[in-house]
Amino acid sequence: MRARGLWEGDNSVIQLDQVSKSYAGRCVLQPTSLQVMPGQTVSLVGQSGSGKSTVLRIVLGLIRLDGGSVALNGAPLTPGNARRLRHGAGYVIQDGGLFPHLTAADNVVLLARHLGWDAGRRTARVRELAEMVRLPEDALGRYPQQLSGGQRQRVGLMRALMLDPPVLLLDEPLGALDPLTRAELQRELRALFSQLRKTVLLVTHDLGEAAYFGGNIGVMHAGRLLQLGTLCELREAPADPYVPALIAAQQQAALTGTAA
Amino acid sequence: MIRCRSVLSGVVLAGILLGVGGRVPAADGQVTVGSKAFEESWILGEALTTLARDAGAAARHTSNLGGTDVVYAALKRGDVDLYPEYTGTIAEAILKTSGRADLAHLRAAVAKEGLGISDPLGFNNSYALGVTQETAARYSLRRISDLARHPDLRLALTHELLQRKDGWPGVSAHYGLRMRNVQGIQHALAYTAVRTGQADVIDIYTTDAQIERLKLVLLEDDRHFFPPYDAVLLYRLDLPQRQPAAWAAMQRLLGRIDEPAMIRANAQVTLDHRTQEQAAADLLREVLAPAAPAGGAKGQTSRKPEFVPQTALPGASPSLLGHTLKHLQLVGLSLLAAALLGIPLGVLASRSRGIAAVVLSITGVLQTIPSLALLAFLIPILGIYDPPAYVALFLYSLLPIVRNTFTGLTTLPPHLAEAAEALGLAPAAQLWRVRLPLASPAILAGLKTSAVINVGTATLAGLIGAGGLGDPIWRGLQTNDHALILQGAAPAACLALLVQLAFDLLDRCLVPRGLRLRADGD
Repeated sequence: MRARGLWEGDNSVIQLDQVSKSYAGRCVLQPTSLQVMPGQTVSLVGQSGSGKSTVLRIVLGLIRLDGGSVALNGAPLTPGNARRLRHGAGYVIQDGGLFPHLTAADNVVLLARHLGWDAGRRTARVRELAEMVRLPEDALGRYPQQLSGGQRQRVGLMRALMLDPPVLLLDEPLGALDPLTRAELQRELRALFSQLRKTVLLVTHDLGEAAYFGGNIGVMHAGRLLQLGTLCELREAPADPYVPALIAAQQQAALTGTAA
Repeated sequence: MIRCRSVLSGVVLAGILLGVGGRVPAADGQVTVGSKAFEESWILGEALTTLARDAGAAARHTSNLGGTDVVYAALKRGDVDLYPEYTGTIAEAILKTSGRADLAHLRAAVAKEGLGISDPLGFNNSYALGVTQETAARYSLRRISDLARHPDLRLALTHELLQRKDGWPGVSAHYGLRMRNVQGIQHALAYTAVRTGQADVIDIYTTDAQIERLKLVLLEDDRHFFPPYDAVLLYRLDLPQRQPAAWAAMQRLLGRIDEPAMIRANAQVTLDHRTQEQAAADLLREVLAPAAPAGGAKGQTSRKPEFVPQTALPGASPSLLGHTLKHLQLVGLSLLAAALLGIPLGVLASRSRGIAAVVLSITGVLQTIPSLALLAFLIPILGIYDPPAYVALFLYSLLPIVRNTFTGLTTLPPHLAEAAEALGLAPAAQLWRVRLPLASPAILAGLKTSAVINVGTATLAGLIGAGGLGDPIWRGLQTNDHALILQGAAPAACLALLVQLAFDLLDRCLVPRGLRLRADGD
């Protein structure tokens, strides 16, 4: 659990090396490097537009890079192997990103079915996952529209975990939930991360949430990764004036009860 | 790869379907009589068919074949063996010779096309301009040249007359007319227009039964513009050898039908609303009566001194159910073929902007071609009957299907499109499992649009011998017979509603349940 992973060994699970991206001349990500070690949880925090979601998309090869390189689970990511490498990284987005035309169970098994898993194996895995994320059995046969927000998020997590990938990428996974459900899912996610020993890269705008999941926090602003470290390190040795400003703003929000 | 294969199989299937739907052109052992889309032509066609059939030939009447272009193209291709035509029309509309070529000249000219012209049937059915008695009195109109004094009179003329060199352009140049209100109109509707005072001057065929009924005044062609329009038979030169008996029997009509006889026969259909078969039978009975010695029929007359037409003519006039089924077949098969090609084309277009631009503009341009014009393009290639009807309907169905498929696929919620990609699904799996199901409501809406439009457009098939509900509609329009129009229009309207209903059911089967939940709201 050392801080800056840049100089650590190359057994990293996620490795970004000087990746950058601009759209139509507007830079959304300055050259950025980041390493996440096996079993580590890294949370990227920043305002919307800071480039944090772009980082996740780059890890999955969903975005064509302007420069730099990506390695996932030890393999350099290329257009040719991106699809295969994605099988080793579960991706969860806000509100689950479920396909509305498929039931919860069908959403979960979509990829496994495509990869030729037989029905018995699929069913067993779905049952196991439902238990793991505490989704009631009857919810499996429902369509996304018929599920609660928390249930949709659980199904999204099940879909990401279906192939038991070493890596989990979560983009504001709890952003669309009411505070109670959100707190409950935060607790469960934290337990799940340590229980499953997944390598987790998580994006959130809530510093408190990032701190709750533990591990390192990356502060992003205007397309730059300003600092990567524990909350303690961010507090005591901020690398940029933006870092204490962000901490102060979130504390104020928490105290006055206006947190999102 | 899968994409290529499905496009290809779509094309092949469309071809098979069209091939199945198409009718075989006139077989060798058969006489096919054609006729144009007005009652006189139907009656003559029917009479000729009856004569050929009674002479022992397998004869068929393909009636109501649009205008001169359609039926002439059908004759040249051999889809029909002969049809009643007028010398003036042959000279101007077909051979494009100006002036008044005599029969010998016309025969020499059409012989190059493998066609022949019979001797005249006996009557002259020329163009004339007509006005009501009131109009004639109010503006003191007697002759065509009188029109020059009243340039504001409203003229409602048939499209064919407006277009032909020997028609309105020729008349107005010849007489130096500068009429300001000239409108194109369907011929049968022109009578209604002049009767209700919505038009002052209309063009008339001089054997029209309506002249007598509406007491129309025919303006004298005082500067002799209109050539004679002697009725003749235009036939393929191989017909007399192929079917000598039938040809001899049909020739019995030559020189036998005078103007009053033709007007009476026309009146039976347009005024008394009798069928073309009944009118033809009466005409035959009248003109081939034993009183008149029959000529040139090689002893046929001695065996059959009095003409007794057979009553039940097989397949002469399909039932309402037959028309409706044919209509459904036209709409259904063309739609199926369009779906099999259109959906893959829409998918292809959604993959690349370049393909999208090409595919969408081609299908868009096709949509702007007026349906009759499209048929006119297709007939020289495909002949008459079913093939051009299917192809035209197929082409008109493409745009809504292609465009809706394209739009449905390119306007998917971006986060869902990304989720499918982020899962690591192969492109084909993304298409089948995610994109197409999500776009299915839009694709079905496109199919529905095409189907409903096709129910309407398919009525045009009635003008090229392909049948369907257009057949009674066009005949009704021609004879101003509202009951007959309704016989086609009412089932067509029901069919449109039925198609809507069928697609609502199809929606339930094909659109995934999860998507319908969203439409209902939760």
